[in-house]
Amino acid sequence: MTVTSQPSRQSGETLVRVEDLHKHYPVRSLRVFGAQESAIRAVNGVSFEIRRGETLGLVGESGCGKSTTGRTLLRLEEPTAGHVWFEGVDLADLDGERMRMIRKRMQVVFQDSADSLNPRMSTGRAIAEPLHIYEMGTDAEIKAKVAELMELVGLNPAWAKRFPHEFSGGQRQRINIARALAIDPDFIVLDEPISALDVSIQAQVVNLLADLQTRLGLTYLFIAHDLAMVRHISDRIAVMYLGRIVETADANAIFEEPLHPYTQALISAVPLADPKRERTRIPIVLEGEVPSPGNMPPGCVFHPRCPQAVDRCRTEIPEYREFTPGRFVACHLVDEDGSHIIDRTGL
Amino acid sequence: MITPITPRQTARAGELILDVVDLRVSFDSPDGMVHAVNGISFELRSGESLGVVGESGSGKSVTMMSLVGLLASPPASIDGGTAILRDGDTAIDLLAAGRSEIRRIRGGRVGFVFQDPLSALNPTMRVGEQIAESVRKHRGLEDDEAEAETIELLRAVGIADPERRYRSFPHEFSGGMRQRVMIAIAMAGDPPIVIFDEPTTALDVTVQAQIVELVKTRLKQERGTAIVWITHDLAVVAGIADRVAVMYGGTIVESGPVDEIYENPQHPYTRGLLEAIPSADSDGTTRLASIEGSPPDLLVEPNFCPFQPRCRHAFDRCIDERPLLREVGEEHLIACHFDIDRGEPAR
Repeated sequence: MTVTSQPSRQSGETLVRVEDLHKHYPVRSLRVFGAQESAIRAVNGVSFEIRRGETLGLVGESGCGKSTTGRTLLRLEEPTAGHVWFEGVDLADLDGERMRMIRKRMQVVFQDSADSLNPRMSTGRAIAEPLHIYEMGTDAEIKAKVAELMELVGLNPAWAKRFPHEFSGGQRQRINIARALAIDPDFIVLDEPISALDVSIQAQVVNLLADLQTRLGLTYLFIAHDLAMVRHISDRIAVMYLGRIVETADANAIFEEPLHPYTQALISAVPLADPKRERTRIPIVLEGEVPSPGNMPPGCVFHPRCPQAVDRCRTEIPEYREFTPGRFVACHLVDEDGSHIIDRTGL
Repeated sequence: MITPITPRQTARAGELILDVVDLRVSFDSPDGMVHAVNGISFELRSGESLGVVGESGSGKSVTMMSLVGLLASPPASIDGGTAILRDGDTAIDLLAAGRSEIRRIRGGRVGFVFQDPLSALNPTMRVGEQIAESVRKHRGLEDDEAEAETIELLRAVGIADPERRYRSFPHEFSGGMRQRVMIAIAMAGDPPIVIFDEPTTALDVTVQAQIVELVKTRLKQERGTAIVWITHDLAVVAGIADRVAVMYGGTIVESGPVDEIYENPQHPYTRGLLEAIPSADSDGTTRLASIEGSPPDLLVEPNFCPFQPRCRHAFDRCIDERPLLREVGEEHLIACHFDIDRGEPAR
């Protein structure tokens, strides 16, 4: 195994623990014999831990539930079932005021878009807003803090009076990051934070996020679909498919030795900025399309598209379990020692 | 009888089929004149694929849309240049062609596939009929023949059960399938050139892999179609292009054979872009090299190097004089006053 990790970044205590998280959206459809209820199972039993100071990358294709997982974890949406612990405290047990205080320590940065910032609010006011909401300091103190934050994210504090439209996409994302940092959070959910940015600007923002993590000891859940960038920034990566995590492992292990057949297909589809290697890369082409989360296949959710599926995969949901330390896979075909997939298709 | 699809015979491989010289396009905007394309020249030979790489505002899409008469004028204005489309002994200047002529060329001689197929397709018309329309128009086939040919095209682009799918509407298709339909429409007239404008940007990575594979086998290999692939994604281009043109601020700053561009980039912007993305083996321990600063202000007439404000090698001449393309290797051109390997101004 070529799993290389940085022990210092991985040895932290668990900051966030998610267990069997579900988010279902009811769908009512009128039938002849009255209303029938079914559900879109956007998140369907997701469990993971994030250690203090680390970055967990959460990847998967559109509709897999990765953003809903982030939003539900933060209680921006109420989970249908499951638990989220922050520093060992179950968020479900918290009343309004205690939830408010804990939420202050969990922030979110979304993809930059035209409406990620209020167009009529100056940059300074936008960054100061969370400080005012949590009554963190006098006006003068807040003003000083805003200048400090702007400097921290690489913006000129003299631009505090400018409005969002006067900034480029990369600069607006720096404003969003400054806003998230204003109230000194421990944990930030980064939901596609660089997807809307140009390539040359993405590197600026990724470097900024890495610097801030080192300086402030931040913990990140980095949700994105750009796998090369996720690998770069993450310590560990969790791969989602149709509302479930199918595999979690060290970032390099996910790329170099993917175990779940979906992870293998996903990684093999990532193009490389290297023409010579591109000529020999053979993507595993998946047949068909992702089924609707309103109509889950029985057994393993991936079995209808899995090139290696066997009978058992069609009826029995595979347990998501730890095969080797830190390597979790939900697949019937993984060998007992967690080293490879047993090919049973030829049997 | 169905017209058999055979590789194109009209132009020999390697023959010059499109020759664009000094193209200039501007837009009238409330803030003033936007200098979108500032003197672009490039060639396309039959059967080759050209990757056009650039960030937002680089002018890559505007260049291609101006060639096939897809820019609304006003606000757009083509201020100069020629774009000679050759086919055997005939030659037409696309920029001087009349409306009806350009409509005939579009689809018949130059196909176009956009990023967003949903806005390019008619939502109220069955997809088969939309493809058949193109087959009738450009191939002169009548109803039954056109339908049979359309079904063959649907099959060729990998749509299962094409007889039934002929009668589906665009909203019944996934994003990847809609893009397959767009490719079928582009193939319907069997044009010698197909321009792809960010065709996979909105798609998931496994679907992107399917589309790239489709274009490589069905168009590039089987038909010998010349391909222009516009993208911001250096990794996708590495796998599909024979030659690459890198655009910045409405100009081509570097062009050359694909291996040469990735292994031996000579323009500071190209080098910066390649260093700004994680390499295929990046384990996250190295920092990305970001290009500082923001994208260029296109309201300023570029009498200087557009990259100069962000370039760490810039010197007086870069502000005083716009660099023109010069040869630095076989078919390898750069627009730069600096010799990056020697670390001094070019002689």
